[in-house]
Amino acid sequence: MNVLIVEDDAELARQLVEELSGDGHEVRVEVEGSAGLAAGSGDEWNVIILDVSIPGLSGFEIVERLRETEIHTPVIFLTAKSQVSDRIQGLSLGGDDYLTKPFSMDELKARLIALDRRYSRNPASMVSLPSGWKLDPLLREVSIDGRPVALQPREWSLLRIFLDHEGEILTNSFLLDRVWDIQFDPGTNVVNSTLSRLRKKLDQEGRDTHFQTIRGRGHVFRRHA
Amino acid sequence: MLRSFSDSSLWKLTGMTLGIVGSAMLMMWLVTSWALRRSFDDVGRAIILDDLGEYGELYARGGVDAVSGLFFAGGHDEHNQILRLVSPAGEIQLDVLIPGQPAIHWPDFSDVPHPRDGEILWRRERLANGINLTVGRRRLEDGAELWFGRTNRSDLAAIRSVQEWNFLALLFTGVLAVGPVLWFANRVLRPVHDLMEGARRMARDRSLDHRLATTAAIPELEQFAEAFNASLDRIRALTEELEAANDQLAHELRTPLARIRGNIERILKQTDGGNQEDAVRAIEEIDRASELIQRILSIRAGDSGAMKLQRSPLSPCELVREIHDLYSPSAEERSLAFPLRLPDDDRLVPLDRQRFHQALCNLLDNAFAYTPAGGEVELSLEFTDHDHVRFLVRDTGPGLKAGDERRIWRRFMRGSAASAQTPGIGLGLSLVRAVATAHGGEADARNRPEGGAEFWIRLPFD
Repeated sequence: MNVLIVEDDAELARQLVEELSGDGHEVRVEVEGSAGLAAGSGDEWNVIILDVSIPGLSGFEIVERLRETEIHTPVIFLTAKSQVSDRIQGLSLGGDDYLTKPFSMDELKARLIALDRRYSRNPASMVSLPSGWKLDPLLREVSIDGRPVALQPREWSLLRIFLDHEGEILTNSFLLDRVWDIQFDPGTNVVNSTLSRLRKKLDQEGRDTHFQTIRGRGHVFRRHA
Repeated sequence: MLRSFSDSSLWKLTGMTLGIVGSAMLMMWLVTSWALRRSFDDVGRAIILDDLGEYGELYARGGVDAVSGLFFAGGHDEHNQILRLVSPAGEIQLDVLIPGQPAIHWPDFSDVPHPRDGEILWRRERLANGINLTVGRRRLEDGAELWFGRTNRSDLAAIRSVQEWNFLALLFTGVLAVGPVLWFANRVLRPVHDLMEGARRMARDRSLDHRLATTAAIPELEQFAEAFNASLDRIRALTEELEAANDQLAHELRTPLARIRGNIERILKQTDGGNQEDAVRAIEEIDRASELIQRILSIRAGDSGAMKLQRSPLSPCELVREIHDLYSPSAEERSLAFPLRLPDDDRLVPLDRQRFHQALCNLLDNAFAYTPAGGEVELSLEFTDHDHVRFLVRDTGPGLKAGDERRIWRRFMRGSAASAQTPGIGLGLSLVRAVATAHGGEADARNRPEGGAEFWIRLPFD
């Protein structure tokens, strides 16, 4: 993936470059608004990561100008502004996603991949299911080796997100946003509880769980080898 | 506009003005009628006196013929005048009544003696239709008697005509009197009404964008509106300053946290064993600190009226159902009964969905944290007083200790039942109250008689 990062904080930019290029992405960094706009106007980028508060043009202004010139490269805002109104402003100006600092690198990556998939010409490669699994979206049922398991609507949505992001670490806040449309982390660990239900319903006795929780990072869905 | 004035001062003013104008008109009508009648009566008497003198003199010079000659020449019937001349011997020599008006006849003088020389006897008789006949009877030099009478018919016609013009003039005055009422409605009441509406709208929308309309008609009101608007400008400037300061503060605090988090994440990925546990704890602390910053800024914004709401009409039932759905697995995990109680009907209420989610989640976090396994947390919604909605969270936890009712809403204060193991940073309820206040509502709590606590958010809606 080709990623343009417009971020004036040198340390954060360094971390982003290290993480993303470590994952095999092509990354370029701009530290100033106008330079960011000039770079972003090219069509080589799969995703642009845009800090809202940068010197020169703000991140919001850059997106506005890009969209005015019919450049629709997906943009994810990275910002210290966390007011709901800022988020709504950013998205209404043409941004595609919004991540508040401090953020988890895992979450940023999950969001980047989701954005890239949404926009890429060849949409999401077919989700491959663990062997013996069949999904019935109409009934919201998973049948495992012919045994049907009915899921609640949110359990179903949660499972779909995990299947779409197989092998990626998904944070609580990412799951809350995508499954429940909630942009804060409640004090009660609601994600873990719903995940426990999924484990009870879908894991087979005597085998490792499909839904692994990595403390401090998030949850990951893995097929059995 | 009229509808809104229906129970206001406009009707009182209209009533009073019409009352005053009406009474004035009636008084004027009565007084002029009375005064005109009196004046015409005096004039009528003077005419009779005058004519008695004139016809007496004619009689002395030319006898009966001279009298009748002038009388007929004067068109007595048109003037409703009658004349009688009685000779000294008591014989009626001339007796002229008005042809075709038999009602006008000589009054009876039989109860009085004949008039002495120079004396005039008066009689007045009331005829039909309010008409009076006044007769004067005078003794002439040779002992003959001259009777002269006239009715006030023409006086009454004149009075009626005056009163008709009078009535028109009063009607015109009455119409003019509506002028001040209209002026009052337009230049005084409307601005007052607009002022009131403006203030109401400000309270309802909690917006600092509105300004009170000023009116030049009432200088005091104009000064009031100007002073009020100036205060609003000041509050707005302060609010904007606060928003800018909040943004700045958020930026200053969050950016270093982001740098630290990034580095610790790397450490977490690269190490294992005991170090990994340390890194996890550090990340959790950073996330906690960032949540704390977020809440403090939100509460600060809420306190100063600067909390920006993204309100849209939402179904409270749907909202509560979503939250119930979100917390159900956690309730199950903690062995808590978690009933949901919804009203039969539903309305749309303008709410900021994210903020409200957060407020309700905070109430549930609280209830879940304090209710022991096997207990019950009930989430319910009710519409009260037609235009209020109440979100309720009841628990069977230890309840509030005396004095906690007020304390728990303060920042960083936790209820007496909190222990070191109870999760939370003590800002949840302050945030709940900030969100409720920003929506124009209130948040409160009390102990339930059957044990446990009850927390609620109550909001008005139109």
